[in-house]
Amino acid sequence: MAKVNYVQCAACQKEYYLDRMLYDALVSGLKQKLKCPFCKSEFYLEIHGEQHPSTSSA
Amino acid sequence: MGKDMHMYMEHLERDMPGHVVRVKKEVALEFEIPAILQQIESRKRQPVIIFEKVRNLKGDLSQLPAIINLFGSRERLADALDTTVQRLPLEYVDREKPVPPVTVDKKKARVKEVIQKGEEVDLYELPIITHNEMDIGPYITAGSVRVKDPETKWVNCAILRIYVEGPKRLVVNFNPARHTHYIFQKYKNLGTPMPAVIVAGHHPAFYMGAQTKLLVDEPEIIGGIMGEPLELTPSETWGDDVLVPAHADLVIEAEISTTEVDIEAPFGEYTQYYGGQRLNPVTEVTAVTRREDAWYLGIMPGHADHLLLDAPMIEAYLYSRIKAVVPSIIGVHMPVSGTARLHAYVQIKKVNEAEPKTVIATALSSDYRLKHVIVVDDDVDIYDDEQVLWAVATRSQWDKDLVVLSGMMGTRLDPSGDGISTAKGGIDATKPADPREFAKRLSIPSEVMERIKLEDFLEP
Repeated sequence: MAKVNYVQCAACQKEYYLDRMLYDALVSGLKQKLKCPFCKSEFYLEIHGEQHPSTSSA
Repeated sequence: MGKDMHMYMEHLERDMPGHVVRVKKEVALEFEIPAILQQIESRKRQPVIIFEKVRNLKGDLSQLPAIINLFGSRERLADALDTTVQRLPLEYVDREKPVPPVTVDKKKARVKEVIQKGEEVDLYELPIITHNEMDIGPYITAGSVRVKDPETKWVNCAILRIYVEGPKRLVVNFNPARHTHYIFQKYKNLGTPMPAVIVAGHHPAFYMGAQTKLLVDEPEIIGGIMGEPLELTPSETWGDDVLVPAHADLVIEAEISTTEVDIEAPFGEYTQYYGGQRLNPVTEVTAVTRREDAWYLGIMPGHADHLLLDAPMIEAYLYSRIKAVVPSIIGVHMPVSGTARLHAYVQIKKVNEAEPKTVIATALSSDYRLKHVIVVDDDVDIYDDEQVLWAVATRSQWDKDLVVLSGMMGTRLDPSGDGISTAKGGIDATKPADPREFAKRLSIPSEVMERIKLEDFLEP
């Protein structure tokens, strides 16, 4: 089953998910603002290794 | 004057009035239009819906009505090619031949009746819809994107999802497996942006022709499918070097950056799941031209409107590929129940026991999205899911009639795959070639079926 990389919006706390390629790029150090589809706010996702609490597998 | 969307809609309203619904009450751009379609679909109807009163992205009353579900019915797609539902893929095969386009003067091009360039461009004047709850924002969904190969000069067309990020700024998604991406890489190597013409609103035959898989100058195939040369006219941004369809409702001219990317998605896709947020090329709009009386055409993601448009082309392609190997093929149907991409029902008049698995192997290797194939006999209606499943129930034994192929290319949008590869499979649901080796299907004498008229027996 494909891994779904959920993230939580820093502003509204709602969750949505990233494409695998974008998530892998963020883990590798890409500095990229994400955009919440619910409240439209932009935020940086801090990722440290594979242990970030905002992501989960499905 | 060539075929266009308005001509087709006049025909529908006159000759097939049950296929058109006009909504006169005002609707909002966020979610209301898809909600109305979904409720109509729950009543087993698939009309074209014209929303006469809709706000644009600025909140003003849009000058353009919105029109959706143009492609939501196989009967309409067949009608657009002057054929029947059963014959539609074969008609596509017959028409999928080059007919060179013709260039017409801008004065004769209806798409030039209103021209906006540079600072005048404002996509927020259009009624661009936000479709599903987790979509990042409004998307152009009926945009047939034309790009020109800088080496061959052939034009490739593809319907791509286009996020409207600002009044002049788009973010365009295209799959690395597609021809558009291949051409994009050439512009990237040249260090220049890729010119793109986004066509929103044309005759259904235009859209079906633009879906061709053939590696040719696609405007020629569009002409073949339309049954007449496609009329083109010079663009505002690039002149004679890049031509646009002369009788489209709306054309957006843009430059796709080969260096700058930005956030795009989530967006609800044909699999009826959301594709995850990703980075895609930024696209700056240089000009917008349209008819005075233009309609804004949208395709509803995940609905039959979205699923069926590709189907005739894929069915035609599969039919030709399989026919070359298994001549006994009768028909191919990509059902909406399988998103019209992931499942195929193939009907054959079986001659030998090796044919079904040969059909399966050929079909599964022909389209990266196709995942499951069911092969049935000529007495099974491949347009009826119930009949196909009945054939699987009564004519297959899975210790010998199943084919499973692991590690094949699949679509990223199938959430059950790993994003790159997928496991594909097929079921041989055919009887033995010798009818004396199998049970006989129930039947009522044809003389009785023809004689019985229900109105003679049932109260009105």
